[in-house]
Amino acid sequence: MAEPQELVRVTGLKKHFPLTSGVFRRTVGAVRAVEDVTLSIRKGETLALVGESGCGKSTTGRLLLRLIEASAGELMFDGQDIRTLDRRALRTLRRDMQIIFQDPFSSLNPRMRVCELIAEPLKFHQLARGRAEVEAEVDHLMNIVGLAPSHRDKFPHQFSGGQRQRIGIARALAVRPRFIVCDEPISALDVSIQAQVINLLAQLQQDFGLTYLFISHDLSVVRYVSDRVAVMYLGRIVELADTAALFEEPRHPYTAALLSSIPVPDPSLERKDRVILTGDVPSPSNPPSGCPFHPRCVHAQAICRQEVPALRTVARGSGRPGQVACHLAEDLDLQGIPTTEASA
Amino acid sequence: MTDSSQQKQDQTRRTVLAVDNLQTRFMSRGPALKAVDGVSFSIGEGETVALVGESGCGKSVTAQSLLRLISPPGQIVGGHIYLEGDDLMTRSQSEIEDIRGNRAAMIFQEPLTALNPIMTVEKQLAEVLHRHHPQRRKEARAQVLDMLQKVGIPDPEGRLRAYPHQLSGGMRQRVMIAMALLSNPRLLIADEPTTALDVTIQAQILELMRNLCSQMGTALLLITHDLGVVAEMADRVIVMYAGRVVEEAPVRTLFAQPAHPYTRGLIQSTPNLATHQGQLVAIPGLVPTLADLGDVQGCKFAPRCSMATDKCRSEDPPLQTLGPDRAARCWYADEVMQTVSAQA
Repeated sequence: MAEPQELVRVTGLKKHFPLTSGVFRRTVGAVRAVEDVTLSIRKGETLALVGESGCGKSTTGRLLLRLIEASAGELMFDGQDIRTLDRRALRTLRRDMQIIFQDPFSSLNPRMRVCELIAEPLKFHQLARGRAEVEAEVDHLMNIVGLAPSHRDKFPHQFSGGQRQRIGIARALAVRPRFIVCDEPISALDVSIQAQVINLLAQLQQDFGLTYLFISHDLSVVRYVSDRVAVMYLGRIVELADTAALFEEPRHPYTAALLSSIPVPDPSLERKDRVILTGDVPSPSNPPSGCPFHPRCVHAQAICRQEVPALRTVARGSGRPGQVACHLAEDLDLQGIPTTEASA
Repeated sequence: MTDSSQQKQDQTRRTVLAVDNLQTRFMSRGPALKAVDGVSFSIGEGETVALVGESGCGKSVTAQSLLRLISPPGQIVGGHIYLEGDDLMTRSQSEIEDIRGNRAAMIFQEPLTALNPIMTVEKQLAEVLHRHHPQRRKEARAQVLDMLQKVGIPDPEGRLRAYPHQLSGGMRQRVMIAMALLSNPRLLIADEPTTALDVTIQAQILELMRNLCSQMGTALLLITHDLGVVAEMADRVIVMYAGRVVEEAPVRTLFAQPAHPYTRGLIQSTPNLATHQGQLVAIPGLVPTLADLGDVQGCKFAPRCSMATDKCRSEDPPLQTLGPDRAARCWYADEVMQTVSAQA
C-alpha cells in the first residue's frame, strides 16, 4: 500500500502571545499558547485535535490557515511552504483552505441576507461571473448544505443555530476548498441538531474529497468523525494515534484521564478504576517544568519534573502505531474504553 | 397528583418535592407562551432526578418556577409545588425567601455570574448562613471552613479572603455548591452545573455532588442536556419537549427501552464512546421555539417524528402511565418500546 499523501505538514510550530504591562506596554512574559506542535494531515482524512480550554487547539487551527502568524516553525500545504507566501499568493491559497467557526451567531454578518453571505466568497475569489451565474451557484450551495431555497432572502437572526451553521458551511464550500478547519463546529448546537451537522460534514467530505482538521473538546464526537486524533495539553501534542487505537489503548496518562472523565450515555456500563484528575489546568503563561502534565499525573516521577518528554513512536499491545510524549509510556498500564457492539 | 407520585409516597423513600400540574407562561404581544405546560413529577429523599431536554424545552423555567424565581413577563399561572408537604404556591414572598437557600437551594451553570463579584468567599457564605441561622461570626466561620473542606477546596483558610474572579471555574462551582449545601437543604436544584466546565473538572464536580447528596440525603433535581451526565447521575429521568413532560422512567429503563420517539431520537443522536463507529441518527427538523408551537395541532413532536400518523397530527396525546414510575406522551408508546427491543 502506498503511503497516503500528506496535505498539511507542520513542524515545530510555536505561538507565544506577549504579555505586556504598564504605560509603555513593556513585555513582561508570554502566553505560550502553542509550544512545539509537529503533525501532518493526510489527503482525505479527518484529523481531530482535542483538548481542554486553553490547550492551544484553536490557536493551532488558526496558525495553519495563517489567520495569525506563528512565532516559529514550518508550515507546508501541498508541498508548498506557506509561511513565506506574500499577500497575493496567500489570497490564492485561501481558496484551498477554509474554516468553520464554533459560534454561528457571531461569525455571520447580521446585515447580510443568506444569498449575499454565500455569494460573498464567490465574488471575492471571482469564481462566478454575472448575476445569473452567482445565483445559480448560491442555489446549488444551499441545496448541498440542506437549506431550503425559500430562505435565500432571510437574515441570519431568522435562523436557528443549526441552520446558521449550515450557512457557515456553505460559505466555506463556496470556494471549493480542499482543506477545512472545523473549529468546534457543533459545540453551540442542540444534541439532535449536532448529529445533523456531523452527518452533513461527513457527507460533504465524501462527495468533495475534503480534508478536515476537526477541533473539539468533545471526545465522544471525535470518536465518530475522525480517522486519527491528536490530544493537546498546554500547547503540546501529548498523544497522536489512529482513533480506535487511541480510545481503546491510550498510552498517555492524560488521554486515559480524559477518556475516563467522559460521561457515557449508558447507565448499564460499569466503569471500574475511574481516574478523576485533581487540580486545574496550569496557566500557559507559567507552565510547569518538565512534562506539562506532571503536576496532575498520578504516575509522575523525578524525570517528569525535569525533562520535557519528546513526542515519539510507541508501540501498542495490538501493534497499532502512534506517537506519545510520556517518559513512562512503555511502563504504564492505562485503561481505555473498549468498543462494544452498538446496541439500539 | 399523578399516579407515579402517589406510588412514590407509599414507598419507604419520603417525598421531598412533589410538583403537580405546574404552568408557567410568558406574556408576549401575541398569545401567552406556555413555557411550562402542566408539568408534574416528584423527587424522594436522597434521590436524583434528571430533567432533560434541548434549548427552549422549559427545563430551566421549570427549575426556576420551583423556587418561584420567575419574574415578569413570566408568571406561574397554575399548579402546586409541595416541598415536604408544604404548598409553596400559597406562601408569601417573605416565607419563600426563608425557604430559598435554606430548605431548598439552587446552583447555576455559570458560577461567575451567580456569585457576587465584590464579596469575598467568606462573606458570601457567611451571609447565607446568617440569613437563615443567625449566630456569632466565629461559629459561622468554622461552619464555612468545614463546608469548603467538604467540597474539596484546597487551602480553604486561604480561599476565605479570595474574590470569585481569583478562582478557576471548577473552584467557583465548588464554592457555589458549598453555599447551596451550607444550611443542609432537603432539595438541591442544579441547573446545568457542569456545562461551562472542562470534562476533567466536570468529572470532579459530578462526583462531588453525588457524594455530598448521598451523605446528606439531599434530593437532587439535575437539569441537563447531556445524556452522558444523566446516565451517570440520575435514578430517574424526566424528558421534556415543548414545555411538557414527554417521558418519565427509571434511568436504566429509559436508555434500554425508551417509550417516546423523541427520547429514542435523543439517545440515537448522542455520540457514545463505548459503542462502535457509524452514522449518528439525527432527529430531522428544528428544535421548535415556543412561538412556533402555538399553531401545532396534535402532538408537538409530530412535525419531527418519523412515526407520526394523521392521529398524531390532529389529536394531542396525554401522558400515559405505562407501569410503575413509567409514563410517556405518545399514542404509539407500546410500539416504540417494541421496536427498540427488536433492534437490540
